[in-house]
Amino acid sequence: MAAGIFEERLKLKNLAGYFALAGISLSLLLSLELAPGVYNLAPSAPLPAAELRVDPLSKAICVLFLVVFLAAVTHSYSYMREEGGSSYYTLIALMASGLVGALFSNDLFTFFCFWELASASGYALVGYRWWYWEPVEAAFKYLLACTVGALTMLYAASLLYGVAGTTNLDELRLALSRVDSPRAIAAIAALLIVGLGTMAAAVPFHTWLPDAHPAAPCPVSALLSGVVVNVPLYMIARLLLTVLPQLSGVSYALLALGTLSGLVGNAAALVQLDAKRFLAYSTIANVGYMMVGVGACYRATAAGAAGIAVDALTGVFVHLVNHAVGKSLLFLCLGNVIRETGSRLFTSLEGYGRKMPATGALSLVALLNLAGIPPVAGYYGKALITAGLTYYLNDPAALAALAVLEANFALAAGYYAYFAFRVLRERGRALREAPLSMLVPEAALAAFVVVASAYPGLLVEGVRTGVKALLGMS
Amino acid sequence: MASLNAYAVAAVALFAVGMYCIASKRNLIKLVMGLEVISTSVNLSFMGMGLKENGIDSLAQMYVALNMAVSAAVLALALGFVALLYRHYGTLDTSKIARLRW
Repeated sequence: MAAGIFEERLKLKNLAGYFALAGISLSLLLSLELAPGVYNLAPSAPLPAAELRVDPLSKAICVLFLVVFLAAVTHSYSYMREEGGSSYYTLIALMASGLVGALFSNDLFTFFCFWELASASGYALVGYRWWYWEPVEAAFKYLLACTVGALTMLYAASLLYGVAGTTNLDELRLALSRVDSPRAIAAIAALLIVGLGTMAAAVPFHTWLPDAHPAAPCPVSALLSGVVVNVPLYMIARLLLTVLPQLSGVSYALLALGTLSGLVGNAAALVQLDAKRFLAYSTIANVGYMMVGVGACYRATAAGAAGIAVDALTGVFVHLVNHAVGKSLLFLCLGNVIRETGSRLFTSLEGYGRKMPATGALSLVALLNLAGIPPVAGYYGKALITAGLTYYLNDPAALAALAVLEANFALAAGYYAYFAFRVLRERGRALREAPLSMLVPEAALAAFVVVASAYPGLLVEGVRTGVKALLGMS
Repeated sequence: MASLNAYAVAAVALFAVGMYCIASKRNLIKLVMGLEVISTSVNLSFMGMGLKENGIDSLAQMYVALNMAVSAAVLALALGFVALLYRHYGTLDTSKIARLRW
């Protein structure tokens, strides 16, 4: 059935716009019907290494991704009216199928193939406006960094294949539990963290992201920042927590990378003059928070504290949902403004909240959610990640990570509040309100934020059930 | 565990060469060549790991064939970007194409 979804969508690849929309809506409906289980991509003659696995968590994330894709495609009709051709929508549909496939893959090589499908369309989408210099340069940089990352991951997969004779995650788990060579496993884990960390833009490997995300058209930036970076993160969590045997060094590596990403992302965001670049750096910081959460879960699992592990990982995925919705909503709102002003600089965006009240109100919802101030849904993910760390206060590394993380949350809340202040400032030139085709998809995402804030228990408990199933504790 | 054979060792060396190329070269074409070298090293590694007494495991062969196709697609895209960059800048030197701070 999962295979059916991809075929359904790939058949539409030569038709534009409405067909992309129809294809993504259809796959959204089909994914709601997906039953958890393991599917082979060729059910009649099962292929080795072509397996998809649907569990409650990946199914929920898939639904979320497709909703964001729907919003971005709808938003593109007005935003890309002059520039968007059929190839634009084709690439978005391809990216959706690649990401959904990568999310569901139960095999490292399948993951690689789907991921390359998604990211190759991503490179092309970033460089879509090739007649300007910036998108081309950013796209090449993105391609170089991400391909190296993906190939590093694949190299690790080849080593796993050498050790265990398979790249299937379920078989790997069994085979690796019998292998007793911590040094080999540590080397493989390091390669996986570097490879997937590059794909998710964790700090020492992040340099491509602040160029690639702003250079893309706004709906594509929304997809890249809101959706694409999450897939390698999900894979890191899945591989390290459920497949590879536990090693003490890994949690330190994750905590270090995560806190570094948080620090560098937030610090660099503060000095940006370009609003989209600012959001791109904040994406790096958010990737950092989620990595810290995975690290905390890893520590708790190693110490046998199952409850804490579930809390931390629930925090990671609640934050993933909130960040995906909030960041893509904010990028789409900026799209409304940039379409009017033709500039991404803060100075020319300032005060749009007064001139474009609907866009202003929607971006405030997104900003509040990203700032994570308590009554809003964005708070709960951060709180749970923190809870995952507080269990280890006697460990200096965890304590340091906790302190840095809290400082980062405060800093982020501060600069989002400042962003909101500049949005509402009384100045700037006259701007026309965006058309309904741009406001409606944004309103849908904002409605999600409002509902999640009103009933946070639903979100958190739903994710917790999925996380328990992922960790095999249901 | 497959014993470390000459192919696997050569793959490690090739991977390092590719990484070095990407880290140190300033010509866009050479960067793309570095990517190709890394991709080849991964293929070689799969081959080395899949080596059995009676030939190479079919799974490894499948991985290599698919990886060749995938990286051909990505490298074609990369060369397309290189051509566009050359059109914008009139050079292939990354130190001159530095508006986004390489």
